Amino acid sequence: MTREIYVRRLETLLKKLPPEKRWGITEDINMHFIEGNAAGKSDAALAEGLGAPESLARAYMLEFAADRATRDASVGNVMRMIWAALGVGLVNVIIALPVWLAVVAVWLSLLAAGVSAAVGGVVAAFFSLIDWFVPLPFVNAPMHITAISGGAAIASLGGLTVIGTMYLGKWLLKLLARYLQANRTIIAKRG
Amino acid sequence: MNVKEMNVQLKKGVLELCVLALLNHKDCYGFELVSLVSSSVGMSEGTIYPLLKRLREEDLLTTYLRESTEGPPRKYYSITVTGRARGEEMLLAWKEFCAGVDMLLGAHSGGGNDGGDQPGAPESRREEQDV
Repeated sequence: MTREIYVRRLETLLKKLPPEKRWGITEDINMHFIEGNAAGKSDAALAEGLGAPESLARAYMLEFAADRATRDASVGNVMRMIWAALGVGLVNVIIALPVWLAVVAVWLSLLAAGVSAAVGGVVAAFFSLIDWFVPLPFVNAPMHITAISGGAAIASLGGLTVIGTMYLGKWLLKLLARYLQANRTIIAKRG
Repeated sequence: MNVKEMNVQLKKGVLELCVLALLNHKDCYGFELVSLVSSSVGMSEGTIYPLLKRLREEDLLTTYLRESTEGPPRKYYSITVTGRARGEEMLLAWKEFCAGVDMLLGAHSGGGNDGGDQPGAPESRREEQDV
């Protein structure tokens, strides 16, 4: 069998494949003949090495079978995947987003409360201490020790609140990540 | 599954590894590559071209035309970065697989064959007898 006949036969057998793919395949085989001829092999010997065009075509189809299956599956599922994503997206906007915003707002106010308590406590303790030795016009603390220790207590409470809020924030971030992951899983499952 | 069929399936499985390993050393033109692989692994040329086409579509290989001193231009196959990574992965898996199979054969096929074809096997068998 000559190169022309072999390649034409192969091309006919691969009619089901898209033209560019088919053209690429026949070109590969064409080159095999040309390179083989240059190495001193006859068309007949090369054709024998490749096997019958029918079996070569079957080998190509088999090689692409898995590839084609996944592509078909994804094409068929694209619309459903979009709907699934939209559905989850809608749920997110209507329910989850306000909930998350509220959680973030609560967290922010906790943090603000902690920071202001810490700063306020430190300021109160500091100025009470100074006032003890050098009376300050804007400080009105008849019992310095109480004022200082009260300020220190408030400051440490504030500090603890800030630390706690930070931990809470980390945990919330993890929760958010898990929530997003769950979303993706839902989308993937529906798709 | 008879021995012949098992042989074909085994070869098909490692064909991709062989092609990637070969191209990892140097670029080859189609005829050269296919002749090399088919003669050393004992597969028909017809099974290798479909594989080459798939590997190219998966971007593990690329091709380019280059003039040759002895005749018409040749189509060279060259491995990509992704192809190299895949090759290394497959090689590791292959080595693990071989080690596992060797161990199993060494441990459980004692007595059945004469062991002359495997230099490592007789020693391990002797150790077993000692224990």
